[in-house]
Parts: sequence; structure tokens; C-alpha cells
Amino acid sequence: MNIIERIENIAAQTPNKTAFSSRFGKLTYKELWDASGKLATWIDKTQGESKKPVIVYGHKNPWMPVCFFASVRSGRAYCPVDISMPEERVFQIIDKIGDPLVLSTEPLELKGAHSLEELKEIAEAEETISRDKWISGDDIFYIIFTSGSTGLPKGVKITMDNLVSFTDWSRRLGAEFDGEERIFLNQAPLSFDLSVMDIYTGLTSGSTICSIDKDLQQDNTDMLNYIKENNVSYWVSTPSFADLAMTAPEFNTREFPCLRNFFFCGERLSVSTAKELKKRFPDSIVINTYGPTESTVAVTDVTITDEMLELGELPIGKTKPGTQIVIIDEDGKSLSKGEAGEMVIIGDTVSPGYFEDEERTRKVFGITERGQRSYRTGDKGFYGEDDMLYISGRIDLQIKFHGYRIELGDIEQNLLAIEAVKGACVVPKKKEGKIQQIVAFLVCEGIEGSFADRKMIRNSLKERLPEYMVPKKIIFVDSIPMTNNGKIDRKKMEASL
Amino acid sequence: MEEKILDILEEICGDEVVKEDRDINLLDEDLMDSLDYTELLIAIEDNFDVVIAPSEVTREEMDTPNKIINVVKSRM
Repeated sequence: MNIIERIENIAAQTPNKTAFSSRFGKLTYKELWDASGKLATWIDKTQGESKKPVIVYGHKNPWMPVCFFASVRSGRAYCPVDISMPEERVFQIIDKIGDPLVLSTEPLELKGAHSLEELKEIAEAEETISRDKWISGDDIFYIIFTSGSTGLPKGVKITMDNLVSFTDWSRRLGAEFDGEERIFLNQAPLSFDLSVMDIYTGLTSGSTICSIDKDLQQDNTDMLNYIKENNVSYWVSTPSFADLAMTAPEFNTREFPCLRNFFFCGERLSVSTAKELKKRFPDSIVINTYGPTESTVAVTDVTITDEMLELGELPIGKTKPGTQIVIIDEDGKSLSKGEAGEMVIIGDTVSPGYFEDEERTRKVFGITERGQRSYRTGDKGFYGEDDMLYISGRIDLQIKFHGYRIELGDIEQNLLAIEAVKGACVVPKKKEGKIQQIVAFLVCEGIEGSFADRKMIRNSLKERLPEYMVPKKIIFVDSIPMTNNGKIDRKKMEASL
Repeated sequence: MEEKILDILEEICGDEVVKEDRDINLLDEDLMDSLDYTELLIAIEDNFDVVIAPSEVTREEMDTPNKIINVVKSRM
């Protein structure tokens, strides 16, 4: 069954079950199905021959998924754009697609954009779309724009088949507890593919999505109360976001008895985060996953065990069925167990490429001899003795300093292994493009930030790392700045130096 | 001039303690390795036109912020 057929089924079986809820309203499966079918008819009428992707602008309104399904049921991909994106970037995306239909569930200063009120009226008036209009198979389901290193965003195309392969696997992750009602947390903006993990795993399993907006996320106490009141049972976020939640001591299993499964993606899960989480939620399942947007959210998973918490580094696990990861060296030769190199993903969730960008597509995407799609991740990793995959950093987070090749992620891992260190980000300080120093930003507990503290950190690092890797400058901060997508904002920290 | 030297030292050593404690021993505290020392001599030359050849002074004569300030002063 494909994604649309599944929703059709669920809407028939449990029409009144809540599909999506946020502070902006609720939506049942029947409402999702009916409204998207009607809106699809209108999209198809107004767009006619044009099969251009439809831009869906907004934030956490329940009509966001309505617009998503309306687009794909009309036979067109959608491209989600979140309000947290800078305006310039929004227009870059609109320009890239070229005069697309824009559905906006939040106010947008753009001529021709269709507002939420309009969409609701339209949906009232139309008949439901015929099923032979729906996208299927290798048709594009969504396009998510990620930041390119050249500055211009790249639109990753994900097909219906990609998403089916992904959700057929993601629905089976985690543990099911007796009498549990699955309620997924949606923390990430819908334009960030981490949200695909909660939205589509949740919707295709007939669960409820509890979505938290960005204003709510500004206030930790209010946010946690909201999560508690809504009985969220499935946590999906970046590790950084869980760290933020854990700044509240009451974030524990006594206060949040429903929370049983934790899913992490989008960033490296550190031992300290996992350990703290297991301490606060001893009976919960903590799952680490890995994958780039280019291969539909995630392709590996591992349930963290107590034994793993004794290691210096958590594995990202094993690949899902239908996917293989090979490790290659700089010449493209495949490496054997234990040797670190670039990770290449081969399999059924690999995107067909970037939207109208042949050049950048050709650089990283390929087809294997057996006709499968492949993607070079730019992530460095290796297979451990336990046959699990481990990440050792980004190829582009590798710097050359005083002639040494240094992995910034490696320094961060070693900093996090120091008892007092709760968060770490290591960046190079540059002058006229040349690296001058390695600087560490640290979040520490029970430390005043004196010279003695800095010395203690440097000395304990020296026990673990060669001297040239020890950051010269140590800056204590209250928190590590995050990007809109909830990842560590390295650029911001580098710019602050 | 003292301020400028302290700024340079802070930049090179990466730690503001050089301003807080001008008698801190930069060698004992691992604040300045030989690469940094070379960098310091270059910075002194660039900023004050004072050339100090590594052979002219021992590291011990230049191992605290105060000593460094005095050496530079005496040569201006």
C-alpha cells in the first residue's frame, strides 16, 4: 500500500481519531482525508497542465498536512517552507521552482499566495479528486530544501516509493507497550526532514501527531506541560532538543509516564545525552538513527543498551532492509571493517537527485551496476567489531592545522567525556581564511569559569588527545546556539570569534 | 603599550588569565608553546618595531606577561 492509500484506509477505519494537533487546532483522519481530496481538485483545476511542485508555506497549523496531501493527490509534489526560514531564502526557493502555486497557512507577503481562509472556502466548494490523479511509484512526493555549501539551497526530491520504503521500516521501530496509545511528538519544522519521521511514521500507522510550535518551544516549562497534557508517547527530536528539555529536572518518567520511546536523528547522539535520558526514563527505549535528507530521513537504527553507554561513542546501528552502506576511501575504493572513510548509501530510499540541478546531482548521486541509486554522504564512518556503524565526523569538519589533519568532532567527543562538560562545540578560528586556533565552546555544570577550570579542561584533554588537538581557547557559555532546525549552529559560533 | 602587549598575549595564549595575573608563568601553565613564542616575537616586531632574536633572550626571561612587557620596554 502506498502512503495515500494508507491514509484512505485509516480515515475509513478510524475517521474520528485525531491525526494532527497543535496549539492552532486539531484535525481528524476523516477531516484530513476529505479536505485534502477537495483541495486537490481545485489545485488540479487551477494548475491544469503544469505539474510544478506546490509550495506549502506555514508552520504548525493542522492545515499543513491537508495541503501536503492535497498536492500529492492532485498529482503534484509539495515543497514545505517554514516561517522560521529567512525571507530571502523563501524567495530563493520560490524562484528556483519558478512561479509555483503557493498555499500559505500563515501570513506571507507574496502576491498570488492563497491564504488559509481561502483554502478552507475552496475546500468546502469542491468535489473530491479522482484517485487516478494521485502520484505514485517514482513520482516525487515532496521536495525539501537543504542548505548548500555554496549558499544556494538544494531541493532534495523524495519519491512516493522512497517514502513507502522508509515508513515500512520506521513504523516497526521502537517498542510497543501494552495499552499504549501512540502519540508522536513533532518538534522539528515541517521543512526539516526530521519531521518526516514523526509525521509520516505517525500518520501511516494511524497515530496522533502532537506538534509543538516555535513560540511554545521558547518556554521550556510551558512546552513540557503541553507535551505532558497531550500524553506524548513517542519522542522524535534532535539530541540537542532533548538536552534542552533535560534542563528541567522534572523531565522524568514520574512526571511523563506516557513517554516510552525516544527517537533521535539529525545529529550525533552523545553518550552523555543518552545516559542522562536513561537515568530519567529507565524503562524507555532510546533509539539512535542516522541518515541524510538525500536518503529519506534515516537509514540505520540501534536501540541503545546499558553496555553501549560504557563506550566512548554510540553506534548509529545497522542499515534498514533495502539499504546498504559502503565505506570508501578518497579514491572510491571500498574499505574493510574498522577502516574509516566516506559513507555511501545504496538503496531504495535514495533520492533521484536535486530539483533541477544536474550538476550538483551528478557530484553526489549515482547508479550502481545493479541499477540501484547511491548517494555519497560526506559523512565519515566505519564498521566496528560489533558490525555496527560508527560515525567519526563530517568530511568537511576535518581541518588542517599546523599540518595535522584534525577531526573537530573527535575533539568534541573527548570534551564530552569530561565529567563536568554537558555540551561542546569546537570551531576553528580563522584570520583571512587561515586557521589560527582551535576554540571550544562549552556548557559545563558546577563550574565558575575561572582559569583553574579552563586549565582543568585542557589538562584532562591532554590525557586523551595529542597536544595539537587541544583547543587553545576555551569559552564557557550557558547554551550552545542552535539553528532553526535544532542542530548546533557552528557558523554562528565561528562568526562570533 | 602594555595593554597592546596584553591583547597580543591573550590572543596567542587564548586565555584572559594573562591579563588578570601578570606574573603567571606562561611556560609552567602550558599557556605558551614554542610555536606561540615565535608568533609572539613576530607580533612584537610588527606592532612595536622591536626585533627580538630568539637567541638574544632566554625563554625564562620572557615567561610572564610582566617580564615580556619589561623586555619590550627596555628595547624601545
